[in-house]
Amino acid sequence: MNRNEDAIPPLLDLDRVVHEPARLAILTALFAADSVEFLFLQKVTTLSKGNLSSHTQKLEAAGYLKTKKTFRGRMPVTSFHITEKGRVALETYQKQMQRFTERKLGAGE
Amino acid sequence: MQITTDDLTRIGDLTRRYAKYSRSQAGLSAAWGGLCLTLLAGLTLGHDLARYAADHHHGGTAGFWRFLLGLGESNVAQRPLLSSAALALPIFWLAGRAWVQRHVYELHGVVTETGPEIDVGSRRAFRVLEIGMAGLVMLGGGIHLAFAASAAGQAPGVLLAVVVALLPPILGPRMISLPDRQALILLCLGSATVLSGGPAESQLVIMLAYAVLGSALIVSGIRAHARFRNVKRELEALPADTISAPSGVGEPMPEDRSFAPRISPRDGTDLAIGLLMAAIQIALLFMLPSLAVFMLTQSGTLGEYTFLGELIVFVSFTVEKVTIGRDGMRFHRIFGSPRFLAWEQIAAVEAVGRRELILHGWLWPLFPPREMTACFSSVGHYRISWDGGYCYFPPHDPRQFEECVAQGLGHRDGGRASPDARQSPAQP
Repeated sequence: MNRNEDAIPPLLDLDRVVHEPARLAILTALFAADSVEFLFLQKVTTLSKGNLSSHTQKLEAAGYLKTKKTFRGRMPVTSFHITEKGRVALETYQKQMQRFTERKLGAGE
Repeated sequence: MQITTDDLTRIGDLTRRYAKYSRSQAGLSAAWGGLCLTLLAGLTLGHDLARYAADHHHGGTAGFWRFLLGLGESNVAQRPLLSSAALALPIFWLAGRAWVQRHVYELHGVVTETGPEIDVGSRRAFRVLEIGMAGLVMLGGGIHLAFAASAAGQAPGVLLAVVVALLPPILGPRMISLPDRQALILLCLGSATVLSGGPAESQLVIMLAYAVLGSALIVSGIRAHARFRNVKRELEALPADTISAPSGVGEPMPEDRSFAPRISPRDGTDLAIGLLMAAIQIALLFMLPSLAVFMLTQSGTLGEYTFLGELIVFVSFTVEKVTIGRDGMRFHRIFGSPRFLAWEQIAAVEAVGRRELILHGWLWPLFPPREMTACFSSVGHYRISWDGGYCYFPPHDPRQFEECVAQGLGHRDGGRASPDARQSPAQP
């Protein structure tokens, strides 16, 4: 097995839930704060309402975030909070990607 | 479709910087606190200057201004402008901070900064403490003023100043570590100092110190706000929908599909809840007004007509089906024109639980109800939210309804939304 092939296994181990760009963006935003409302998350990730809704549901199903629905006056407000499992998943993903990049750079030298 | 490390860094950085204004950065709130404090110090010092000027110019000030400024009075109770400002400013500041938070720093939604007070309970406890502190100044100051006006005593005022000064260290570092709380504490201390009502000359140095601290708060608040404006500019400059979802629907929207509401209850509990809610609605919406008409007119016929009239109006609002098409959702009423919601207007379609439906769909508001069908079941409802309101609908076929909604929202988003945008009905 050459050095390029060495770089492949870490990619195969990647968490597919986190690996998707939109979900990675959502988790990154949630990682930076305690709780984030739908409106801000939509703004900062530049996702449409439908896409954001879809991806947060997938992340919630994976146990990476928690959704809280409240009312502000008459309007329903949805906010999200990253779980410990979500934090660990994101950190693991970042480490795996870093390892992969290092190996790839090593292979290129 | 791709996302770079730079994009992720930017997202994390913007979120972190925006979240700061929920907690560790006060911005305009601090500037507003500084302004209040400087105003208070200025009023106290201004009083002395005005009195000096009046004394040396043989009372050139008109009667009203002499009264308002309390010229010639050393007792704070005799100085209406200063005592009112000292009493009201802490509460006034709290109200101003709430407004600034809501209309400036939460304009793009609430983001809470990670910190020691992460749980909602602690945050609420500190809000209560802040209001309590401002309330203490108002109450204690008011009692002191009433006392001082009659007996010219200073003791309660001094006690108030001591209590307010001791509160922050007792409450711990979290009470004094944040800039907006520092502004509140300084303001409360300033008010208590003024209300303690000692001779104006002895307050000169303290008031000068308050004026300096107030000015420092104004400067730091404006600087923090300038940083927030940068965050806001960066947020607003972001292009829309640059990260697209891969699992696109890509399917054309089907022809218009109609969904009838589910009317029958699911089980015994569901039936009992449905009947109870119906009884409450009938009693409050129909029987109470017709009884009132009967009591006022003593006419049973008029009472019956009122009951019937209300029933007709209610039925005319009842939705008999919802049609989902390419352009949006159409709510067909039994009488009257259907109500139409374009996909662009619809923010979300989400499954809701029993509790939310009962509280927000059936009980409040009673008329027109947000749940506009004749459904007896409290489960299997969906909340349809749009800009400016929301309503509930219980489709007879939830699976088909979810698919059509997902396709409709996907169609709006240019065929990029996932069919998983639908949500399964929440369990009661």
